Amino acid sequence: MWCRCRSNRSTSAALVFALVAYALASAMTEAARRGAPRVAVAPFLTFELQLDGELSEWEDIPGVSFDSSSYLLTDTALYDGNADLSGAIQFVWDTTYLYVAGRFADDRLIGGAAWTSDRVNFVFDFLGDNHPLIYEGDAPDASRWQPDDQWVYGHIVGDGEPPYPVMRLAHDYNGPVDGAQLVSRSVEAGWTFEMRVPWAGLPEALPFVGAVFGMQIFLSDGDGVGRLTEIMWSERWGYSREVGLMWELWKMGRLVLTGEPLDREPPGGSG
Amino acid sequence: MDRFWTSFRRPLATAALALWASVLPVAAGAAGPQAAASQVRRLEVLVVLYTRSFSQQLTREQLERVHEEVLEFVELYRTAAGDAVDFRISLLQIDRELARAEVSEVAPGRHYLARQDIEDQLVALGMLGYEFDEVIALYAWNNANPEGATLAYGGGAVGPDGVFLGDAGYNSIGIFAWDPGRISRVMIHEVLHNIDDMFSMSGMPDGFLNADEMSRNMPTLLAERPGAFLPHYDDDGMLRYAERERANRATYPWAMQLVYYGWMLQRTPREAWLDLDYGSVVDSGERARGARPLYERIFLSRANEQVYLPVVAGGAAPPTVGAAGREAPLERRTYRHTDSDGSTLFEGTYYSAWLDLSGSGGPLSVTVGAGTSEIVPIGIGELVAPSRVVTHARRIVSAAEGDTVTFEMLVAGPAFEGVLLVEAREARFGGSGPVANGATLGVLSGEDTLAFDEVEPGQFAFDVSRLEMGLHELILTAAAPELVFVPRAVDVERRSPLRIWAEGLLTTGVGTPLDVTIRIAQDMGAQGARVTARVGDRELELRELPDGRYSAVVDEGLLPGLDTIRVWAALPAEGGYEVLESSIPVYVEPRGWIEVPRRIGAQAGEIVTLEARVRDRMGRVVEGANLAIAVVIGPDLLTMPEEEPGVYRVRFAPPPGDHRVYVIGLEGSFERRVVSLQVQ
Repeated sequence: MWCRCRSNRSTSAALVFALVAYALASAMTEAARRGAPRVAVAPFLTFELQLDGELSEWEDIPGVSFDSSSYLLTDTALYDGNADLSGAIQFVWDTTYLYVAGRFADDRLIGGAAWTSDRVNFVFDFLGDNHPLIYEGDAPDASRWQPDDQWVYGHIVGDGEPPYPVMRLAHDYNGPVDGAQLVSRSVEAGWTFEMRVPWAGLPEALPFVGAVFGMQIFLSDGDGVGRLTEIMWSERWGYSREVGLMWELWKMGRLVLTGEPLDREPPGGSG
Repeated sequence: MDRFWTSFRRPLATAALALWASVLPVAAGAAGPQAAASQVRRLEVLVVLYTRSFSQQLTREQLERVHEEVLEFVELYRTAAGDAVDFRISLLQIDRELARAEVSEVAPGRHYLARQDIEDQLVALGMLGYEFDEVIALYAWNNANPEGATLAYGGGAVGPDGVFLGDAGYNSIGIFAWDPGRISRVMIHEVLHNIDDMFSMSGMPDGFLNADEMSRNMPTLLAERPGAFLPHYDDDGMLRYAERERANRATYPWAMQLVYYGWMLQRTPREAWLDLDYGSVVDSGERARGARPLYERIFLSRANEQVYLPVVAGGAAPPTVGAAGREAPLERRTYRHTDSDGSTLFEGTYYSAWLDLSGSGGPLSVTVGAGTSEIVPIGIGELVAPSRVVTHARRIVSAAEGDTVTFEMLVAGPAFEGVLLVEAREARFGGSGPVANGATLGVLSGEDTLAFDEVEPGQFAFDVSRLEMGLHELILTAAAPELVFVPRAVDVERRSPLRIWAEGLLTTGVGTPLDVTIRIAQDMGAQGARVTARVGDRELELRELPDGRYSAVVDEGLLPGLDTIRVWAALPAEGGYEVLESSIPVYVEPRGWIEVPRRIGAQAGEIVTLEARVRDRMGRVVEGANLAIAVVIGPDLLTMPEEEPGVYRVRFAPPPGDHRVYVIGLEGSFERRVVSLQVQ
């Protein structure tokens, strides 16, 4: 597998991480009661968004945080703590796209579209209908997934020149999401990304205020051959070095689409 | 295609033979210097024949047929390229059972004997020292076996690439799974692949054509051999045929493939063969001629009292075969290389005999006509044990002694109830070789060593009731003087003959009755049981249905989430009753109707309290479920905890204006509810 390492590169627009701000995350996430799913909130888009990897316009958007307290799937010996991989992910939406942004501390940015390079991963259960017995307790391979179960992922630095594709794996599809866009930026001691995925490219996803999707997030941090770290957001999925990730699709958090501030008109699709 | 076979098979076969015959002088003419013309490339070939597997035991007639197929394979190469390459063939006959677990499972239920499956044993048997260039493994197989294991490929070739038995090419063919005539066909094809790789590894990647690329090479074939497929297909017609084949709209009959294979062998210059880094260059005068044994050496288990000797015909017919006072009359036989429809493509004569080996005590040198064959007895051990054993353990509660619990073993294999018997024997064609004297047995279950009792020399027994209930993989190993054993895996499952299981998933929604229907069956069925269950704090009694199932309905009181239903069954048994237990997962989905006020009025700055209730399908308020209910207020999401049984509340201070907020469930199936807010 070819990979391109940009660990020592940074842009002039280096960002200082404000992890403390992101640790505030959404009130809902922090207030999640014991046993309830973790929740990420995607407010309706109310600001002008430029997909350029520069995230200042996302400052007021709640996020979900990843750090050394997240579920570490891979070898503990390979994870060097927050400087190795930590950060936060935020969501907003409109009636055309789901937008995602993230900023992460990472001591090595490994490029290339290999499974061992840096990657952001979102697994959806758009109908929210997975439960512990749905696959009879087996972690199913993609051919057995329900149509609304989908894995969306993107490499922070893919092969060749940008733009890099946003990929989708489902029971009947494995390929890029048409109309999706991923922009990444190398910053001091880490990287940022912004991504937009058209709802039209996500079968079974119906966006409206109050929509609740099952969602799992995991980060893949490649630090060289045989040095892959993966951390997960909501519940721990099975993982082994030989087999890789066990797709325990019933262990998910939730993504809730919320609205605009109450003093503004309600967004479309809220009927 | 059928028309081709019925109308043209004989002429095409004739054409194929004519082609080979016509090319021999061409190959000789292309040989170059006189010195090279007197030399040939000799390749050392080992045929490994597994006469027995878990699915098939070859009969004597089938074993004879295998060697006939080898003869046909040799004859094809001799005819097409005999002036350039010479196979010196050895045979290793392995008569122990080839277990399914030893044959690589390349896809679920589909198997192929890979080179790594056999290399250790070949090395242990001393085959590495003979520096073979090519290994052909033929293994008895029957797709109609109780385990449903089938062959993955007709054959498969790999290498040489420097990683197997020194640097040998390898291919393997399951035999007698299909038409026996396929054995030589597949062998001819697969060995071409190995030769192709020999040329590549010798720095001549284009020195030999690919046996799979007949269509691609058809223009070259026809340019070099115009009319090769006449009178049935002219060259233009054959090119069109090749195009159809490349588009997967036609396949080549074997007779056509033979034309291609013969041509690719014939067109390879002798100099190229002589430049191979495999085998040796020998003077063509050393090449075996006249009547002679097919095999240079035959390695087989010393426990065999007979060996089958096929003899290649040539010159005067030898009357007998023998050595050291052992003589056996040679039988004159005919081989016929046939196409899939049975039509003969070429045929010839050979001889054969079963030679008595009893009491020989060591290697024998057998002379036949112009050649000799070395018969080498070797020590091949065999662990005789079932590959899978199911034992039944039953928990009987004695009626007479109250709650006394006893265990009763019902079934075990193979010889004694409750005892696993393993025998260390010497391998012999057909089985039943002598006991391996002085054998010791080692048994591993996971990381634990199990002690088997030696009940007789070479016989070992283990009381399986010493195992925990469940599935255990035992790895058996053995050692005995001068014998080579291959480890054998035995799966032992110790279980009740009865099992409690549910039909389908036990799922329901909050407030929806849960239908608990179970069966009590596994290796046998059960009727007349008293079945009880517990879920949460509910005790259930399941009634027996006319079809033998047991059922009960839990109509209320199940909390959302994953739970377990514990089931007990008591069956009448001699002297008491048999007790079964099982835990079956139950999932109760959060589901229902969220009930909220349609409108709320408030003053600016006032704290608003929003209340919600959840009703089940019967309209009852669900209490104490602590459901994950939340409200979307603009961009924010606030939880609504269950503050008192069935009542979920949230408090917030909305800005002035008319707004809408949305009450949602974060898990399960809930309709979104809209609440209008009027803040003045």
